[in-house]
Amino acid sequence: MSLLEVRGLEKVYSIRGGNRTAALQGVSFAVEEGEFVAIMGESGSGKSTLLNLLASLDRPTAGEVLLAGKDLAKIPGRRLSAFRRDHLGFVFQDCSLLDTFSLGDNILLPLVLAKLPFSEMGSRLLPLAEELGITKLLNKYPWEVSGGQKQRAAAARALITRPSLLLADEPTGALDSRSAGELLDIFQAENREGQTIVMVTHSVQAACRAGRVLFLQDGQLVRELRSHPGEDFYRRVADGLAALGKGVA
Amino acid sequence: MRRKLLCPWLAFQNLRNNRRDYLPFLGAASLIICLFFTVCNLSESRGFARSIPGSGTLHGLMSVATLLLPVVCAPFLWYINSFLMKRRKKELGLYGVLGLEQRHVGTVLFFETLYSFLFSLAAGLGAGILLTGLSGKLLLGLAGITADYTPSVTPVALLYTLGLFGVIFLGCLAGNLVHLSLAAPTDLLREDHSGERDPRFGVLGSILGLLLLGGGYAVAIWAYCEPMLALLVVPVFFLASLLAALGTYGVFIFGSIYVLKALRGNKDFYYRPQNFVTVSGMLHRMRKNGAGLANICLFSTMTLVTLCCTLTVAFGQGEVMTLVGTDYRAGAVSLDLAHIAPEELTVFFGTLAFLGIFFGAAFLLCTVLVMYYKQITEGHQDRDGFVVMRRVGMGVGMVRSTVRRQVTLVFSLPLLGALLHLCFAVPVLIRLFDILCVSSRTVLLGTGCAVLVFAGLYLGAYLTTAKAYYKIVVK
Repeated sequence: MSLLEVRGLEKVYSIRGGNRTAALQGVSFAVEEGEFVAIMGESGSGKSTLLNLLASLDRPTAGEVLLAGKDLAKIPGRRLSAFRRDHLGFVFQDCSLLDTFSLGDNILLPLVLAKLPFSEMGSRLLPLAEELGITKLLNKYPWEVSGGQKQRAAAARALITRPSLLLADEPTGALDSRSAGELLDIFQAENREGQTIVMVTHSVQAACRAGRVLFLQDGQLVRELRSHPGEDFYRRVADGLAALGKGVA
Repeated sequence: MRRKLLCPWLAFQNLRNNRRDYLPFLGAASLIICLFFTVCNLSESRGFARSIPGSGTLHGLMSVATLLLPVVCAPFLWYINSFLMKRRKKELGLYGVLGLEQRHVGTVLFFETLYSFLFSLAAGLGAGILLTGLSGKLLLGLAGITADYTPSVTPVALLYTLGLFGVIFLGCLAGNLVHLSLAAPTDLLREDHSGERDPRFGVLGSILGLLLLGGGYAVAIWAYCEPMLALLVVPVFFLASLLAALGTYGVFIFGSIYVLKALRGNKDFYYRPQNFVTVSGMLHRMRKNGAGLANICLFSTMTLVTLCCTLTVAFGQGEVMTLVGTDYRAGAVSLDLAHIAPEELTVFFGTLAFLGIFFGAAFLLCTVLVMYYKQITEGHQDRDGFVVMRRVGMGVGMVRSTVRRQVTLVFSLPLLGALLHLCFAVPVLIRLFDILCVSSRTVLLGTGCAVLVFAGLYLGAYLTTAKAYYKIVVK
């Protein structure tokens, strides 16, 4: 059984006046445990809609999303946030760190919400912070550190719950290329340790770090590339994206 | 659109688009204008003065009131205006980015202020003029006078009102312009993180605050215990108030941060869902604006004391009238009831009650409004935070209870402070009312009723605000 299974996913937005826009139609794919998958597409291709559905932040019009065999749509609303907390980790483009908390407390937030004892929190936080190189920043506040450091803290917040699936929405979108590279190094390292990651992006630099790239165009999956050891995956992803633009995919 | 008309038009659009924020402010300004005009009009009215025996007392009291009312209300309007401005920082920054020069934005702000001024003046004066007859009757009724008097609008009062509030609104405009000129567009667009560190001299500030507060309370108790101070009871009351007010600022601004940091230091307490969000939120809030809660606490105290005096005067009038002509003396200094004309006494008490009602209403309105604006501003600041927390797994139920807890805390702290202040103000009020030969029992009765009235209105404001806050945060 795959960790994540998406079957015939469809999302239709009704606009005032009766116009209906299909943001996603007939999207199906599966993600195995331990995979690092990138979903690529232009803006408006339905990437964010797809991620929101995977994150159970939104409900599909048709089709289903199964995480570890469990249909997200069948989880009752009041259990949903707990489910999200226990199984999913999120990294957003804008970091979404809270100004009221120090970086350390920001990272601990999901554990606090899950009511873990404090001793357990500390034993999870310190090794993770060490791994991500933010140990010295734990007592700083978000506005006191750089964008790259913030995003690493956001990654730590997503990873600290040991989620079965890490979802990243344009994680490098607001970063300079060096910070972006560092963050992607972290993603790859976590993935080697067995972390399953699904990342939505329009950056080739980011997508080529994944083991598999899915191309999304006008709400449909149009192509899939797998990296092979030793090849120039960047080039193939870039070509794949260019082909999308020409409409010959 | 002709270029000349762009600024006035933009100003109008701004007010219209921000009407949710501006309407309460304009409403309050109108009401304060109405109250001021009414008091001023009655005080300046010749016909009124002629038709009342003992009108000297009335005129004197009313003149003091016309001086005091703006002294208290002007800072309120200024304070609320600065709240509104802070909320619009981004919008103003955007104008700069879009290519409007600072003087253009300044012109827009000028027109906005002008419209606000004209609107509140029209509404306030209109209501005031319409209610001239009613307010005159109310005063006469309270003063127990049956005089042949048709109230009229005094031009002098109109001029005073116009001039005074013109100056107040000019002050608001000046504040806005200074705020604008000090900030480059990028500063306006950027999130403001200044003042989020712990204040300097925190320990010293906390200790000093406690000492001042204790000093104020001690002076109050001293005034109660030492009958010889009765001669000086009014200045002593002011001294006690001043010390307690400064102390309140110290305790709220510095002390609160120490308490909160101590709570944060207690790991087993802090790292629980409710406490985690509340303690850090409060700490953030107090760092950013510790004076806000202190202001609300002092406004509440002022309102409570005013209500207290008004009700005591109302309850005490009958009691004192029965003593007129007897050789009764309450304290070392008090009215010589044996040699006072009953009419004069009635006018005196009636005027006090009348003014008390007006002041009480003005203070109450200001307190409620400042609280409302504070919460709304904070709600907008907190919204993003709650969005993030929901994404990271905070359930709707927990959002609701966290919001309730936060709003309750922000509302109850100033109320508790105000009630504590009142406990120490009452002994001084008892000595103060000794002068008027009103018994301490009546003062206590007035205090009790004042607390009930205030708590009721405060609760209403709390519920309304909590609802508005929750709506902002969740939607």
